[in-house]
Amino acid sequence: MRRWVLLRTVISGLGIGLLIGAGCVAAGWALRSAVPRPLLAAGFGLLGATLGVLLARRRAFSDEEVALYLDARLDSDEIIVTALPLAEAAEAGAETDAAWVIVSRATTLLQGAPARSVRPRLFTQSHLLLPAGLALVTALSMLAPRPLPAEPPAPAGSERVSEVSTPELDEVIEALAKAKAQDKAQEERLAELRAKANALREKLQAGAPRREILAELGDLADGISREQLALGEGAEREGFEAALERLKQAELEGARRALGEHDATRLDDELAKKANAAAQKSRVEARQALEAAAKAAREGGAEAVAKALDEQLKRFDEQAARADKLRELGSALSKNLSEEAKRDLEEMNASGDAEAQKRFAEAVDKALADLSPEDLEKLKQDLQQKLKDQASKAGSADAGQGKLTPEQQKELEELIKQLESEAGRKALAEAMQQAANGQPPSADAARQQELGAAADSLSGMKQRISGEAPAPGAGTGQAGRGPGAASPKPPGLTPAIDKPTVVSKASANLRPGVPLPGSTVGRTSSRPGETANRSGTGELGRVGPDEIGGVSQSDVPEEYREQVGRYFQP
Amino acid sequence: MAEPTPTPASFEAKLELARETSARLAAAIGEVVVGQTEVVDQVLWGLLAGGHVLLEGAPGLGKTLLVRTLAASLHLAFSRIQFTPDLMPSDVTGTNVLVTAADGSRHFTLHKGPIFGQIILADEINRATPKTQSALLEAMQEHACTIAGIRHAMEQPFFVLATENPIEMEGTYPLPEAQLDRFLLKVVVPSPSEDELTEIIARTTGAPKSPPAAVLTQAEVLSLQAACRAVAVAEPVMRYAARLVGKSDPDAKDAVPLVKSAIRFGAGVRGAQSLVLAAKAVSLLEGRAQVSFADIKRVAKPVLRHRLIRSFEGEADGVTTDRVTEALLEAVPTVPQKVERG
Repeated sequence: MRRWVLLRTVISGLGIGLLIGAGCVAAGWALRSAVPRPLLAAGFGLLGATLGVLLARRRAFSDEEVALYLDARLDSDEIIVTALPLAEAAEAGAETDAAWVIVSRATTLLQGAPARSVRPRLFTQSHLLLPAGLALVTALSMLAPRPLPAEPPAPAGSERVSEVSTPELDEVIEALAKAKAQDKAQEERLAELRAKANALREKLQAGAPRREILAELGDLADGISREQLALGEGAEREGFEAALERLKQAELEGARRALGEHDATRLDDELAKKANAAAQKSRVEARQALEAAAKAAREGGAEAVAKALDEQLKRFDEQAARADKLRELGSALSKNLSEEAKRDLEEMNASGDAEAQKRFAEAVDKALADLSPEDLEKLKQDLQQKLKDQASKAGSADAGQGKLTPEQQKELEELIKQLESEAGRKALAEAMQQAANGQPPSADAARQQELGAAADSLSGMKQRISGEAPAPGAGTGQAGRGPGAASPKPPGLTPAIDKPTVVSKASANLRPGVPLPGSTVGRTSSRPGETANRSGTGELGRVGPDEIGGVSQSDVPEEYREQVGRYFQP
Repeated sequence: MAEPTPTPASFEAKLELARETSARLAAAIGEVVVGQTEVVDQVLWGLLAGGHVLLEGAPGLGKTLLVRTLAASLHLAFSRIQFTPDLMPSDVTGTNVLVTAADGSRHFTLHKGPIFGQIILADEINRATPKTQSALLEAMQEHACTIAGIRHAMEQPFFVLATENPIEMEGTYPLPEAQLDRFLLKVVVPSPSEDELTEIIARTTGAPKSPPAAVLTQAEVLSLQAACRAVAVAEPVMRYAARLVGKSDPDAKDAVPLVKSAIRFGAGVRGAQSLVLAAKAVSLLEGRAQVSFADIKRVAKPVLRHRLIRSFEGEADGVTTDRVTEALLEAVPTVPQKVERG
């Protein structure tokens, strides 16, 4: 009987094990496990059967329970369970008359009972798990392996970029090498940028992820932009502001704005206008303001700003002298000049316009070249007479009217001297040509231009690497870009639209994995002073050029403006 | 009386005798008492088990007739005590009376009371005072009676059948729980059915019949009582009886809900003993030498009926002890679950 119970429990365990195994097989199939599925199920089945054996042994029927079971099956009024201890006692020699009766009756009963009728039921409802488990395992084992999932698309910008020729970076490295630094610190920063550019070039030649290259290009471009605009920032801020205030007081608004925006080229132009102007008072005031601004900058600790203003002062004097010389010559050669040249002179005198000066200088140069020896002599005499008149005026009462400054007198003497010799005339012609060609830019303007060009070329390179623009020289010369063939028609020659109104619809051709044009790739969050189209300084206390005067130009009410300005004072 | 030497053959004979006797007794009683077969069986269980039986039933249901018929069927001395409120203990036990001898000397002689019988009918036991009741109950427990400091043993077998009337409770003295416990069984005598009643009318309104002939001698009764004690009980059966009694305790950890709500005190040790003893009598009367679970179940109601003390809630809800016993029988399994499942 116990064997039957054991067998029944083992079958139950096997069924449960197979069912669990089927579940594991299903999980293995779903997870694409390499473990052989039938073996896995068989393992679980064996485990279940083993557990069944252990459980059956643990819950094995005792003799008394077997007797009770038999009594129940045979409906024998518990004679077997009663006879069990009595039989043992009888074997020990302690038999009673009642015991004899009970044991003999129980024996007779058991002998008469067919084993089949008292045997426990082998199969139960739980055994249905066995065929169910087997069917499941078989079905799951026959399933084809689950297909592998498609490779996930590579992250945007992770593809490698390699370029043997990097003309933009070469240009940048050259510009950085040429750029004249304001001071030692900027020199070091420029050297560092150059080293970065070199490293980037090597990296690009070796090949690197597009995202990384774009990030480093952006970093380099930002660095260059910072150096391009660096003037009066950080510790020099106070001196810089003081210099700006001096310029404002002298009504040099244009120059103040140019300096405030770190636009050295425009500063050159603004001051050249002042130097070109004929009004003596205005020039003197401008010069004094420049001197005062340089002094204020120096006192405020902005040595670089003071140095730049000193240079501007020197350029101012040179430009003023050149303009005076031009005016003297123009005056002396008035008969030889065209009406147009005379208008240019008037314009130059009135506004100091550089273009007018340029045109006038070309006219004077041409007039000088066309002079005959007699005319030249006459010119010289006129100039000497003017010098004499000036000397006689010095002692008279109306010394203020048309009086030349000592510098102008000196210029006049030098001009006469140049006209006397061939070499002098040649030098004069060269000076006129130089005036016609315009003054060379200041050191700051030159650096800005060089670094600006470098930054522009880096921007172009970024676009090209990010896929927004074709590589230089890589195209076939056809217009347009994108996967489609280029249109044979040049842009602007689309057929006429025969509609009363034109409704346009922008349909962006999005390319997965490629950043949208104009978006920033691989950059960190914005830095202080950064705007949508201008790089920030990256430091607190340093502001972008457009931020200067932001409070005074804002909508802050007048009565609070000073307070708000103080709050935002770096 | 000397006990017969137990031999397998004699025990088989006793079993056969018990079966045959029970049939003869039932037939003899059946000639006088109409119906009440279950009551007759239960009285026989009490007789064979050596216990006493409390019969409860309305007047006129044949309780006294049953006892008188039983006594007539068994060659045993029969006494009847009609309990009344003025009944004195000495009226039950007897007393010493001063007797003058022929020689003129005077001495006390014991004048035995009706308790000194073998089959005692204590009619309407709850009508006597507790003092008088206790005189009977001492004899029931001890099978002896002390009169004037001298202990007098009762002649065996000593079998008390007390009757109780559940109505007309005014002026009665209900038996205390401790005294009720002395009765092996409490047998409820049911009202007769229509057919039985018709038969009763027919029998009792005609010419009087002679009492039945004696079926068993005193020696045979004692032999059967000895055989009853010799009936074997398996440990699982005893455990089942113990579990039933244990579960009747409302303070038990896993007590049956109805027991918890309706019972104040459960059956005690005597209850468990009585279950097995009565079951032995049942098995003997059926010619078996061993007690079965079914025997325990069969005797559970008359054995536990007067041993389960109802709580106030139980009484208020009208929960009978028989209903509680049924709940116990349903709740307590006879064999472990795994054996039941097979």
